[in-house]
Amino acid sequence: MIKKFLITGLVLSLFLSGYAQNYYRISGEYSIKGKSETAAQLVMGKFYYDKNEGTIIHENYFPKKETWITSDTSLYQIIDGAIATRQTIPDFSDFSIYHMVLNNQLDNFGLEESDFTLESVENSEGMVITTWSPSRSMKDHVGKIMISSKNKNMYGIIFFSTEDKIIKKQFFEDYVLAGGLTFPGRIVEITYSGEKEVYQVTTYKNIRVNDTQQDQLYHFDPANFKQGIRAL
Amino acid sequence: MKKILLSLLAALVFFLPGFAGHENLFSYDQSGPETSLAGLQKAEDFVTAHEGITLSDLQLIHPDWVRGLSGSSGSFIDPGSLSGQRVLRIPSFLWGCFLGPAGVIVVYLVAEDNDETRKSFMGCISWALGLTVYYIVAMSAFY
Repeated sequence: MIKKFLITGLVLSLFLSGYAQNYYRISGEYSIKGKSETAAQLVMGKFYYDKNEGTIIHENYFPKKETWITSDTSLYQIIDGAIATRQTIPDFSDFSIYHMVLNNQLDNFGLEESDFTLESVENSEGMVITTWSPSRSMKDHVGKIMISSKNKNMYGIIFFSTEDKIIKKQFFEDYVLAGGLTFPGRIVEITYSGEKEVYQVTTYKNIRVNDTQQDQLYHFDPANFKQGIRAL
Repeated sequence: MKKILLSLLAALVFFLPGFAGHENLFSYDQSGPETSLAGLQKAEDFVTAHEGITLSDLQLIHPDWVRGLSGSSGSFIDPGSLSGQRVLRIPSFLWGCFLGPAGVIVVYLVAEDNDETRKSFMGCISWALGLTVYYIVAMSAFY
């Protein structure tokens, strides 16, 4: 009997671990709308990431058709089929949110492991609200942070100044489930500038996980592009 | 006994308002962004419905929707960093927000500006929070 339990447990754990490693691609569409007193921004595009390729692709189609690609230690800007610019940067593909989501390797990146300390926890009207205070060495530069969650999903973040005034709020709304992963469909950001509020709204849609039908969209080879690199 | 009850009542009256205010902080007037971004929302809907339309086209057809619109897709609005040196014209907050610690390093090395590095760090915190959410969701899918 015990042997059966052990075998069942082993099979289950192997199945679950195999399933956990099965996420390897994510893509979707996004738009960013923002407006201040002096400027406005509307960016629309698609993103693609395959952790085996290690390349992050942001393909924008408005206001300008251009693609931003991070690959190893390079950041490429592609315009009209040619590499317009290339900049050397640290290799951060393993640290991208897409990579971490696909790998479920998120346990080391919570606030509890940062220089912030959990100050209080409260339950209120369906929300769990936590307050985090910066370490002594950071208190001169950043204020506290409050986080709320609803139904195990992050709902809001509030950033405070060192004078304990609210400087920014972000709200994560309209979660969608795609291939077993959840993704916020809409992020509202409110920045407080004096008496005024400045808004930015980011929306995500058509999130796809493990897309196997469009391999070429997740692949980037600089040799396939026309020359004309302007290294920065 | 009466004194204890009175003390408890006084304590409740004293402490309750402090707790009652926090959930109110996590709310906002939804008409704010809707009103402010109404023109851009119309522009987004129009672009979605008319594949291939350019900013120049839109400026001719509906100039009121896209007044002041930047022609660059490589930069994003971040009112908190309208001043200061941006790396690749991308706000430092977003470097930290999208790339985490690596984003902070990029800003630190390239911008060489303490204020910008601090903004990227704030973005990094947001990024870490986002990852935490995904972790919770992913774990809950298995247990």
